[in-house]
Amino acid sequence: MIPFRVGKRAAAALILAAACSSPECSNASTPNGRSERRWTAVFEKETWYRDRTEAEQVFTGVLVRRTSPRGPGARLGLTYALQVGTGELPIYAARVEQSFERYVGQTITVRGKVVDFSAAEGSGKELWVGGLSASPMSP
Amino acid sequence: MAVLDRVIVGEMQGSGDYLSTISTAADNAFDAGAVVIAANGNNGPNASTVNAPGSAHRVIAIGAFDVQTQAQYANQSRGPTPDNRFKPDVQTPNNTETASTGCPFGVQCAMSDTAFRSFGGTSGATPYGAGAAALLRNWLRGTSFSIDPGQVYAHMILSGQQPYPFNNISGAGPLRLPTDGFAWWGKVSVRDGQTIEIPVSVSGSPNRFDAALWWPESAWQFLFITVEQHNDVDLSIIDPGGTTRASSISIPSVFERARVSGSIASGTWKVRIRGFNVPASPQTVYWAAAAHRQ
Repeated sequence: MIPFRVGKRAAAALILAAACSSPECSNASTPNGRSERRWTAVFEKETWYRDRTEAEQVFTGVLVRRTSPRGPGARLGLTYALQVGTGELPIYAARVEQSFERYVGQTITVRGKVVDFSAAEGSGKELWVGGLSASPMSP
Repeated sequence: MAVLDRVIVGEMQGSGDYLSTISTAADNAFDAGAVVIAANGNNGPNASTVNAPGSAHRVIAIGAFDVQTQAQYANQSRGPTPDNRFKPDVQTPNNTETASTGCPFGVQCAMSDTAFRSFGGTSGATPYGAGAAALLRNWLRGTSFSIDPGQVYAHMILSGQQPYPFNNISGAGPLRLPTDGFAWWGKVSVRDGQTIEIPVSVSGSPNRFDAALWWPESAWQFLFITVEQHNDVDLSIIDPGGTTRASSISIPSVFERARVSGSIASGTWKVRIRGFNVPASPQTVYWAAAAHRQ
């Protein structure tokens, strides 16, 4: 799997997703008639998520559990990671673990923002997920 | 976990809630006379992410802001607790340079006498909260062997710089110990609907009059049932002319904090404590007040 950056098709899907008001909603068919995508909202309605200036991107990868380093400064909310290619991106999932747990070991697609705390807070890059979809991104 | 005199410092990031074993142990330590100061946790910015024992009823939880920029620490855990109390209680600075192993975060290696490292997270802020609590405790107890830790908690809230209304990011705000003035403190028992007025004689030329309350609540688990009772106690500051100059009337909180700024007239001011909704009365309430210059 490789990271998939927002393009016209994905942007259209994002607009449709934003138009849905329910936490779980099914998009209409994408413009080119490809398969429907069902997004589950995670943090997309949270003010702190919307206020982040990082661009929202779409990633497809395998969801795995991870263990944060313990001790002072520990950030225990990074309980999952998305394996994309040979890389692994920690996912911030504090208080929303149930949204991810059933997909462990599966390939999922997420819309989210990569937030880099390396300089300011020392905890590295992590993925804040606006919404997730259980079905992999269409090729 | 460290013990500084009778101040217990909890750097731990427990995943349990306010009824967990570690939270119960912290509450028991308070009942035994200890001040318990704990990190609020680094699980933010999502709501209700406070770690144990920071979420416990009888613990002061410490949030964080950057020592240089004063910016809010983005990853700080946010309140409320599951029973809707505000957290953190106060905030202190993080990202200060401390002696360390010099190792990257999460890597174990030998201690060093020369390495320095910026100490982040609410763990980096908590020692400052604990140090302030130790100073307050030593000052408040004077020549006595001990002092009720609730008295220290009321002064910690008093030292926060965020009067009512409160939020679940900063609580009673950044900590700054009052200086150059006079302080008063005590403990009262408040019943439902009761109003208690405490007169304090102010003189000199202070430009702030601050007052704060903190009270200990409890919860029990019996089989699968959680029994808890929240008491709503309000605070007002009354000037010598009888005018209410500031009030703190938070509903879910177990602390209140009010401030009058500007010219503080000499005379008898009153700290008014009201049991607005105290079904489990009487409620023990610790109060603190200070007239000082900032």
